[in-house]
Amino acid sequence: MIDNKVLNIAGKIFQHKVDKNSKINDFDRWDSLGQLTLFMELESQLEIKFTHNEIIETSVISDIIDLVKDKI
Amino acid sequence: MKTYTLSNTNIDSIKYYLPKKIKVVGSCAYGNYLIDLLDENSGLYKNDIDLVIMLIDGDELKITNDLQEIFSAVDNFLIKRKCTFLFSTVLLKSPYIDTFLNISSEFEFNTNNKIINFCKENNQIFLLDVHKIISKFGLKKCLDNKFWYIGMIKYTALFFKEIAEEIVNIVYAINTAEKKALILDLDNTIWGGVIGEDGNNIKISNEGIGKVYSEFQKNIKYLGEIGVLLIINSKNNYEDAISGLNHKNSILSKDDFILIKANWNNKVENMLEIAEELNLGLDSFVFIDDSPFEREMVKDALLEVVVPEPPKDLYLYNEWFISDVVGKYFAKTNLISDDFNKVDQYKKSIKRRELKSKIINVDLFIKSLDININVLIDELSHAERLSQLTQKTNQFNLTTYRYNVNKMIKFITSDSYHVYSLEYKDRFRNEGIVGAAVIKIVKKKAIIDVFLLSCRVLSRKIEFSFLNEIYRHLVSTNIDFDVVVGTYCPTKKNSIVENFYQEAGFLKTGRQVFTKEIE
Repeated sequence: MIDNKVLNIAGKIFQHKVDKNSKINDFDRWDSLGQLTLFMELESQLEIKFTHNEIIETSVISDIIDLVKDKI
Repeated sequence: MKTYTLSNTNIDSIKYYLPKKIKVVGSCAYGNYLIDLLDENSGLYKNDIDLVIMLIDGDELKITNDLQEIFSAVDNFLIKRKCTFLFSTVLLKSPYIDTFLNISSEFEFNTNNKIINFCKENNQIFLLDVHKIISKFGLKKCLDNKFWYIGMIKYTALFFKEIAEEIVNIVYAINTAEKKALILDLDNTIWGGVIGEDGNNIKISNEGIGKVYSEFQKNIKYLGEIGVLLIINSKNNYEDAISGLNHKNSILSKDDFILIKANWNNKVENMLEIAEELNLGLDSFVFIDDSPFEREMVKDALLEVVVPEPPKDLYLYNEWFISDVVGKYFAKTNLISDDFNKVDQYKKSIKRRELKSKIINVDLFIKSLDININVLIDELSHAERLSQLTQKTNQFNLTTYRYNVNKMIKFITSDSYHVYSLEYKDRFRNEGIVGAAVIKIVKKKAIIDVFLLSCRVLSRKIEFSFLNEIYRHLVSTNIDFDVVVGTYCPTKKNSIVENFYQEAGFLKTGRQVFTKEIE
């Protein structure tokens, strides 16, 4: 459930098929700006908050999913 | 649309929220908005940009205090490049350090006043009001400190999503023709209750449910004042309908409507009669009715008519009307004098038709109108109206090419084009600009790119006079050409003009191509 939600949000932001192994710089739109935008969108849609370090350091989808699960 | 963003903060995330058709191809380096506007080697000048989004942050502007420089730079840029420019209002983040001294409040208020006035002065610049979004969602949901400190991104995902939607709506309103007529039921639509049964006890007042309808009528009246044609299509006795409009609390009166179909006929039949009487296509109609049965019937029979679904909660009625009906189908980015006269013009047009039905000989009738036409060439001040005509005219329109104001300005100021406006008046009234033509000169050919006439003045044979005037002008100039070429691009609605060029003495030289050699 959470997995799919995160994958869908990332897919929409990056306009690219995203799987659990996808990571930053895999696609054009997932650059440093894309990274920030993804976390902004996750915060907005899932109503959770990330810390500065989590946003900067978590850049693989599977890790992001785990992080989200911890917060929900 | 090739789009470029300018800002004094990082707004690059906006590209993730704009649809593909509004493609961000560049943005200024952080804080370099003035350099990009002034430097002709910047990406802003190099990419043949269609749309510029300038989103200014108030807190940063308060530091740089360069609003006048921005205005001059934008003016300078728009002299050199013709494109649509969206200029935002500014927002200061509260709480303010100046507490109750109101310095920040005053700065924000004055700055926004200046921006609004600046946008009014240039028809290429449109206001992008961030306060609409803040007022809907609140500051806390729109601004985020964390992303500001991490990446100089001031706004939240929600804000970017909403501002992107606002941009799409503005671009849509600029480039798309709005609907022409709002067709309304009466009972439980513009007042509460059933006039034939409740009489003077219908709900229209300054409190409770009555106030919902009172505000609804105010909204409708406003649309009428800016040129939307208001029409009634209601199952009622005509006298009852009029007594409802004469109610002491009614905002709308009989005179606000250009047609009142209050009878016991099927509403679909009424709708077809309205279309015929006004000489308008069904796709220019939006129909509001509280009855699901009537809505379905009209939707089923007349696919072109827009029939929005009102909310079940009556207290949301006006909010729904403004955002889902006006915002989608009657959105305007500016008003021209013609909009204020439109209702009157249509009323006169109906009178003219009534007169026509009494006079059997059409030629005699046309003569009786005392028609006076005037053709003007490359009039820059007409660009807005001419663009509006290309966007709205469906029937007497040979090519149905749609051009926005910027494009029309390009044609008017170009040596390779001539743009003609047709002004019309008769003994009933001055209709203003009712015809447009754009002629492109290419390789010794004068190609008629646009030739159209508003439906308000059809069947008066002025199209031939208009074409003759254009021909006479072309021949009288030094333009090197030996043939005039007209094209008929058939659509579902313009069959009325399929034989126009042949009737005007052109020879058919291709499938839909007609030519006239210079004598």
